[in-house]
Amino acid sequence: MTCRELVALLTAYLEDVLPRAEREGVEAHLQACPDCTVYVEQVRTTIGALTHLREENVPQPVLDELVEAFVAGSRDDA
Amino acid sequence: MSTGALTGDDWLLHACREGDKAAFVTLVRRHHPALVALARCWPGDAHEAQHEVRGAWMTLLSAAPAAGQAGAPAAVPAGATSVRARVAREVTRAATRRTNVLLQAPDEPIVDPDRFFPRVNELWPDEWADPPRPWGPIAARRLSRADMPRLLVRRTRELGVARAAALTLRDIHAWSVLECAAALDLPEPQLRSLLGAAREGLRAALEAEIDNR
Repeated sequence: MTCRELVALLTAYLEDVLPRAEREGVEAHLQACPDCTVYVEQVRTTIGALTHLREENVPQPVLDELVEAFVAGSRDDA
Repeated sequence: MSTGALTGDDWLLHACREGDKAAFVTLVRRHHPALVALARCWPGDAHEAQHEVRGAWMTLLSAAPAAGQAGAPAAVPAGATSVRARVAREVTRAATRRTNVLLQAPDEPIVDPDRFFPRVNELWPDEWADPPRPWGPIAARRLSRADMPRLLVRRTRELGVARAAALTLRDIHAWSVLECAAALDLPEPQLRSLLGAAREGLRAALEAEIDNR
């Protein structure tokens, strides 16, 4: 496997959907290739950084508007 | 009507359709932020995004139950996706109608081809010619800077709608690939192509930031 091929397979590898033979090929390449190891680490770091962007809260005015629309919709259905 | 084997969000959706306000609030608290983040991937302001997501919720609530749900007609095909993916698909369709921006998977190589030796190179065919440099402690410090979230949001939006949407659902909000594909109305292989291109686009942007490339 070449470095270019590894890069092309990386998403499938990270998503764990590669067939076994290809997965083993990726892992064997990573054992032997420091450049690709750095590349994969950087992609993992990038993914990790994104998890900090997750917004969990619904502002109360937004929630109020949604509930109002829900109640109006329920009334129309009744 | 029996709710049968309904669990989690499907049960809540069923309760919503029976008029249960608390069930709706629970669903909204769980999924609304990711849906708004998805809507923000298309051009437009926060108000338009909220409007589209509100419309998507109402569309789902008024739609016929999907296969496997209580009250579903037998003719509905199997393979219904999660509640949040179905709301997200409505968001995708509304935003696409509004902006005429279609989601497409990239057909170019993920990494800049100039960073590899050519396939015909005798010594190092298809190996790195310009390999990534390790991100050491300086990079870690830069990534933890207070302004990094804003930079990541800006760089993600610069990737374009499709890539930003894939990253938003999969990597920011940790939805499954199956849900992301359903949400964006794309086949799974296309979703994975998008995700690969998006991750590389953002990695390259961070690399430029960290290495001053």
